[in-house]
Amino acid sequence: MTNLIKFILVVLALQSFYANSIGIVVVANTDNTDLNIGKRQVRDIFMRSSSEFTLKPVVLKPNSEARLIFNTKVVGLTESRIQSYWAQMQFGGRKKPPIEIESPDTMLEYVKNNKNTVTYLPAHIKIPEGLTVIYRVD
Amino acid sequence: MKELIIISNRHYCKLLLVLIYFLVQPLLAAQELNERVNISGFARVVGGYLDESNASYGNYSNEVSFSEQSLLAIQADLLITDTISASGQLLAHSSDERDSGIEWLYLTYEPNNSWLFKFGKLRTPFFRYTDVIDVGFSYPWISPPQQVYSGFLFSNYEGASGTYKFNFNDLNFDIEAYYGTYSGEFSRAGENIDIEVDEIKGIIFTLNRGNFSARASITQSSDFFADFPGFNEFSDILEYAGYPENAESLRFNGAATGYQASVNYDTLDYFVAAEWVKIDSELLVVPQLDSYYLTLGYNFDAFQVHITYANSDSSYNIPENLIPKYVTEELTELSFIYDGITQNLPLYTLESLTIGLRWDLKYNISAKAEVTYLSGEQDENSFFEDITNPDFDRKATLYQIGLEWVF
Repeated sequence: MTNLIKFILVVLALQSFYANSIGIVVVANTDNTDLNIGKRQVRDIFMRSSSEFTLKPVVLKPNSEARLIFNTKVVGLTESRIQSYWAQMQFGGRKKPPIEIESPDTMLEYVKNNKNTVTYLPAHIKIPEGLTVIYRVD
Repeated sequence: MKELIIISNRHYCKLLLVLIYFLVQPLLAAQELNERVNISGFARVVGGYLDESNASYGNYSNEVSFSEQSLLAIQADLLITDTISASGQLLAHSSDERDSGIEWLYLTYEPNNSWLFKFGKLRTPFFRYTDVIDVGFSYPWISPPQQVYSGFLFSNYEGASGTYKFNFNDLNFDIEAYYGTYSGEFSRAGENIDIEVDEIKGIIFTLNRGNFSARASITQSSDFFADFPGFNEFSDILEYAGYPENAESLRFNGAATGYQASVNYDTLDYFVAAEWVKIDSELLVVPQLDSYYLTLGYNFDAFQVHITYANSDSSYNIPENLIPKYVTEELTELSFIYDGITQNLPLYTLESLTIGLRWDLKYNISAKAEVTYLSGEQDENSFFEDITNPDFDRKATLYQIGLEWVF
């Protein structure tokens, strides 16, 4: 019975997601508090294809809502394609995929404690002082 | 000198292991080891069936086999300092044709965002997927087009590579140069030959802009030593008889150069990819090859359907047979043997059409199914092996299913 309730809740959650997806913010722990960059630069940081910024990306685990939105609206690739890309990069010895963290709260702690890291989070999360929002997806 | 190089090659891996040990030893005691070690890996289970009794293709015959491409690999990455790491990849392969063991073993030095250096035993990055050919998860097919990926050259090298990355006008560029040697087996048309290559060098340019990427590369392999039974002896006889040009063509003193260009564009809904390769060879053991493929894919829900057309054409750089026939009995015989060798070299014309489906069961597990229609040339190998009936029309269909996993 509890499984059924869980299932209904998940379906309802998914429906509300597709009806009205949440916004996300890209947040960095950087000294450059004026930093505000474009979509492609954000994408390049998270795909590690840029040499321009020294920010180290940290991401939420697959199946998180914020990750799905980030993949769709910023990277422009499916989760499957992104996983294939990292498999090629990692096992070909070229780039290592970003560290993955389970929950937005743990993520916030991690970024707060590690200089020059960058991540994305649901927009409703309160961003503490010391972190800079460098990009927004509404 | 040559012997010295060969000896040092054989001990290269051991030396590297010792070096890694000394670098790592102080760390082993440290509490933070867990944070510094990352274990990952990949596996695939692939089954295939060829609807043809007169030949095999990619080792698949008209009996279902799951032991040609199934494999499991484990990679360990150890962060030694903030800029230096060591990586090793162990591979267990189900095919008799492939050795299991250490595929990669190297040190990475990444002083900053712009430079990356690797030293050790590395996979040769000839073409777009050559260095991850075992990582089926990284590409759409079960078997990448054989016209490009059949492995005429060798899979790894011992040496060094350096990559420089930079941005220019919103474009991301990578330039990688590598240099090394190879000692091991080389397989051609189902035969394994011991080979040593004392110089492998290459350069790769890649360009990215958003979800568009392009790659172009040149690789040259030279200074071969190959133990091809009978070739060296026959070559000596021709030299002695006064036909140095024909004698030379049977030796491995030339170079083989591979050229490659590819483009790829991905969106949420679809992707297109094309790759062209050309092998220019002065060696009779490596054909001159011109191959390409075009792929179109469409993503929907957790599925991806794709179609690939591939084609290849081959030839050999054969010098004119200067050995006269019907002057003396001995020369006539030599001349016919020479013709016999040079006119029976395997040729590789093959047209193929692959239709495949990928289903992502989980973010790191995919199931795949694919059908490949093969159409080669009569009188050629056309990438078929074990041709038992010469009248075989070089047309067959390959069916494959697979499960790909990364962890």
